[in-house]
Amino acid sequence: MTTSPGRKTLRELTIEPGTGKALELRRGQVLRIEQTSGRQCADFNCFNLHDYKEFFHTGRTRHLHGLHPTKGDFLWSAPPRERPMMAIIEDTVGTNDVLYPRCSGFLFEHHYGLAVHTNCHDIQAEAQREFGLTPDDVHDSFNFFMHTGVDAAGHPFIAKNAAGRGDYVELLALMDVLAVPNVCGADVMMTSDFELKPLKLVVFEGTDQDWSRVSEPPRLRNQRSPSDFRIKNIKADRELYRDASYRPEFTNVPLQISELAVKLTGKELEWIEQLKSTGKYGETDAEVLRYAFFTWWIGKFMHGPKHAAPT
Amino acid sequence: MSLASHDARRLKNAGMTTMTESTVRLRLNQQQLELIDNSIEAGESGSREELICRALREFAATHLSAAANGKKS
Repeated sequence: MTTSPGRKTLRELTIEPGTGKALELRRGQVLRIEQTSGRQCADFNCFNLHDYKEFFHTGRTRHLHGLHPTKGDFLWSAPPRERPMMAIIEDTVGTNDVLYPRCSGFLFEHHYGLAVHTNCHDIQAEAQREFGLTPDDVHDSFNFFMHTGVDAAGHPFIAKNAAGRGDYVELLALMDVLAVPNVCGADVMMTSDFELKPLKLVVFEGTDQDWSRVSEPPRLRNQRSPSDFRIKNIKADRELYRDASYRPEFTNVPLQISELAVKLTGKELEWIEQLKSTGKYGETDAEVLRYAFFTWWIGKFMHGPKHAAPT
Repeated sequence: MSLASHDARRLKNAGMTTMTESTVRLRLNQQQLELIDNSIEAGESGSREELICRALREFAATHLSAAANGKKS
């Protein structure tokens, strides 16, 4: 049993195999997801409690923190909101995954011939139903304690679960959220070592010490809200039909191309020639120069994770 | 490739001389130019051309030496 000196416990519960629970968390509260016996994956979704259209996004989180986010990283909402919703302030294992999608009924029927089977999509849907959400509202999960990797050929794989009894992650809510952890339903995959085990959930009132573990996230103009949208209301019917009054308003369109003349010395032209001869940077002088400039700029000035370099 | 650059290349290929000064024309849209201009405003360079040349110089220093040493660039 882990301890939390100085923290007030608000709620404590255990979720059994095949189940999950939707929890209202206010900004500043901490959710701990804890192993009861070890080697159990926990799938996780979260939503802005006051606007369910803002929800956790695996893609942006993966972009900003890589395939295995851990302590110090954020759970980001989907574009165009793109705000940190929760911060991972503790992680005693460090084997989380945002590469694999949630398992689903289809997956078990397709791969295993099991038409009725516990799966994270349906567990999430059933837990979220308590707050009026539908199965279409379930989105790709953050997979805590899911030990994964990518092989040399680029194929993802699931490795043996490394979490032991008492291991835990802690998430600090940076906004009011509906947090939905569930016991991953995959008992015929490596994910939870072929055995589903309960998970313990504890909600704490966060402390100053918890907040001190969160780095300052960016606050930018492009972290948008519905007030920025041209259509502010949520579409409430299923049929799609054309808006006859629609006129496209794409950003910065039409793009205007202009020529920038750059005078190069003989030495600089030699460099371009040598770079070109590698076959990696372009076929013309202009292509090589453009490649060199933007790659240099990215390496020197771009914030956040860099684009991969060619090999 | 600009004509001037092409001429310099021809001379080199003919073994007549090393490359002389030449002009390369980059086709860039307004967003790419904005990025360049922001860097100039931030004090990274005195002009668009100067910034591009600085980038080439530093890029070549890194990537050509890496290539010469057989390193991955």
